Amino acid sequence: MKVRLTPWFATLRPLGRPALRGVLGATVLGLVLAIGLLAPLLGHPVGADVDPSRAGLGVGHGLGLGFDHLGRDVLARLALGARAFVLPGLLAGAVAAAVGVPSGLLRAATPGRLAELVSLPLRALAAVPALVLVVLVLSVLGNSWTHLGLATGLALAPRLHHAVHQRLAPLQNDAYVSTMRAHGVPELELWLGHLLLGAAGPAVIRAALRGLATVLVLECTLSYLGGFGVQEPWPSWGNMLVFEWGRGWGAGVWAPVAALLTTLWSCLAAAALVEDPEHG
Amino acid sequence: MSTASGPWRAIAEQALLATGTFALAATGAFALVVAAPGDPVDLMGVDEAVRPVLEARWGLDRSVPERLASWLSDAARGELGHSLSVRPGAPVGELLVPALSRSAPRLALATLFGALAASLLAVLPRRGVAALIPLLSAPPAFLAIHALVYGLNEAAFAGLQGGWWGRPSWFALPDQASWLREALAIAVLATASGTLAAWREELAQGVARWRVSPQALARLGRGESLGPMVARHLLPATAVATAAQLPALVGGLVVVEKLLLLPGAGGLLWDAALLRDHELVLSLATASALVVVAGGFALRAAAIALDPRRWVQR
Amino acid sequence: MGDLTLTRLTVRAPDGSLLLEGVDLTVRPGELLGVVGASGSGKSLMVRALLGLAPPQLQLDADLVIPGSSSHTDSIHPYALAPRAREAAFRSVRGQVIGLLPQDAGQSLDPFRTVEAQLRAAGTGSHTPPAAAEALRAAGFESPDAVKGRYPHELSGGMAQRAALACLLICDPLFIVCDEPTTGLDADVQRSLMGTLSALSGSGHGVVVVSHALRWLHQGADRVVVLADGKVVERASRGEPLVSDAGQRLVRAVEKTTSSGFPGSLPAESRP
Repeated sequence: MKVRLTPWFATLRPLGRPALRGVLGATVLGLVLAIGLLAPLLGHPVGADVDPSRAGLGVGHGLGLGFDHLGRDVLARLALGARAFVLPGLLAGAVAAAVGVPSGLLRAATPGRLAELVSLPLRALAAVPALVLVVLVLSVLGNSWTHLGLATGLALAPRLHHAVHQRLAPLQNDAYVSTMRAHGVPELELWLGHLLLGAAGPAVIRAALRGLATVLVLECTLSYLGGFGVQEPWPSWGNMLVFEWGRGWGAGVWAPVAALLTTLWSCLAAAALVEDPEHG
Repeated sequence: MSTASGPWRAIAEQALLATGTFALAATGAFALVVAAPGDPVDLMGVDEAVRPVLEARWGLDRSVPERLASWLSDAARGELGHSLSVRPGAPVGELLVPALSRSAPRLALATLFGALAASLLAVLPRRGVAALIPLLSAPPAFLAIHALVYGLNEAAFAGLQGGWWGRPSWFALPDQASWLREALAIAVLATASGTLAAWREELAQGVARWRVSPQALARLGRGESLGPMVARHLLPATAVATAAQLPALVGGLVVVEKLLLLPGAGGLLWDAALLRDHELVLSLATASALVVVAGGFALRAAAIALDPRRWVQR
Repeated sequence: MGDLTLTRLTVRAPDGSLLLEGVDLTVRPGELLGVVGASGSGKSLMVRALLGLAPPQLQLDADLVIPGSSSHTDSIHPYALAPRAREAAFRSVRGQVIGLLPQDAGQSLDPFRTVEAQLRAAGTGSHTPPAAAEALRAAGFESPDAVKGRYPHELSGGMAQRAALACLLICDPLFIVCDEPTTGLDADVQRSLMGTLSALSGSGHGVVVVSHALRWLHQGADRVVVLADGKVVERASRGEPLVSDAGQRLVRAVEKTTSSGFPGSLPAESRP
């Protein structure tokens, strides 16, 4: 799976100042996260909501987006579908941070050639394509959202590792670091407090936001291909597309639109944190 | 490092790193499969009495490091075990080799096409065609294929109904070979999910930097054009950027081969994973890591050879 | 061969603010002209305008006469032309009539090729090895053979600056514009590089040096122009003291600093 979503935001640069884009992106993303987490509170009876009498009713019916070809409410299913990637996405973010950040710190703090050795496990992880890793893990350990989150987290960890390392390595010889050392700032406080939070913080948040987009795309791909990921009758934005497509306009369109917009917005929020010398 | 040894020392270091990376990736994949609950005997659902016999035959009764060592030595000899469920009993190599040989040209062409497109687009100003690249490159591969396939189908069908054409030659049935599907696969592989955009963006940032560098100013100040300079910088940079895209391209094979019904390693991986054919999945995952590591090494070695700063030191 | 004459150079930023206002400058073949001024006074911008290399987003208005040279016979008035023709006119004289040695010498060479390969391909290209050796000698290398097979990253800052100068000299421009050629170099290297530039003006080149090495310029340049806030505030001939406020401030700044390091440039008691 191709998970390089980095430059999407480039398209939307003209939309306004970074701060504005960041707030917009974060708002939409927060909304999607909230929907994904709170959707079960709707109490929607998954599997028991089939009603052929209202099948195919278009926009304006039901909760607003009409019904699919089995007469299930499209908006309710979209909300429940967000769950398919929000939960593993949060887990993936945690796993990626737990693996990538300390290892990135360790590599930046390790002198000379030894640093290459420290990064070897992360290199090995990065050598396995994300989709291959996810498929391997789901096949071997079983298809569940925890395994999806775990595998995606591992697949994302090398990027976080590199982000942290890339940001911190050049600071080693920086005057500001030697000044702090000279002022007697304890080494641990220097690394964790000043370097990690101050210098690598934005990079970490950026990687986490892109991670969410990655999990979304991965989950949609899995459930679109079928067999892995969320399975019918449970909805995911990927299986909604494949299940509804060609059965009348409407229901099949909303899922891909939601997927595109969400990935776009999470990249947008990430972009707001980019210190981008080329584009100011 | 000295000029006498040329770039070889720096390249040898990369080779060492690549070997370590691959060995660790293969070990990790193997460990995952071994550590997983349930072994092939469970999956076959055989009688408990037969279990010790099968375990002894497949070496499952030995310790994990022993099994890893024998798996690695067998793999080095080309013996990758036997398929459990995709084609029960068949040697994995028999399934793997034809699948890989079908996917390899696809992957190579997509890599070449992507690298060429990315470096050409990186030189163009953002305002022109290049501004559209992030948009064109944005949809995930499955959405891109979905849109393309259904778009082409609708167009072909409309043309048939309107009597504009007969059944187009490219309108192949799923089990027939089709150059159109191959071309779609390569195009989607090289562009979708932001691949081309990321590829171009990385190079474009370099081009923007080189164009305002003191070197550029010095060249302009002597009445020279910037083209040759940008090209010289772009070549090693493209090699490195391409190495970074390899995992995405290899992973993308699964999606395009599965959705466009093309025979190959990606589609085989998906089927094997669904059928829990662990030996086959393990071999395919290891092969994908090998392609990423070896391809990345070759590209990085080329970048080193092209850049004297990496190896000339007197 | 005539003078290089820039009159009424006015440069505006995209927001309309004035960066340079009514600057006049004349460079004669065979003279070394120093340009000094505080950071942000517009020195670099002014000399870049001589070659049409100011950043494209700025709005330039000037009357510039670039004289013909032995290889390029007609004089041109590039700023009187439409943008496209202007760029073509500048391109035809860059390297041949007027050449630029930019700031940051270490970065101004091609990292992928040896010094000799760059020299031979400089400007219009296809120079002979003897010409390359000659250019290196003119740029101040006593033994060109020692340096020509090297890559730029193997050169020290001063050597890189000389190699970049050689790449310019092999194109044989009549006028040579050097933007901060001594930045980052130690005092000895600064002095010997300035000696090389002085020798070039002696051999008939018109040399413009933008520099912070005020004391040296004051002694070694035929004329010094002081820029402040985008305007020429003072012109002094060799040896004349600077009297304007801006000139005085520059002189005091040089006296305070210990990094200038020219012999006799500082009172003994202020040395560490």
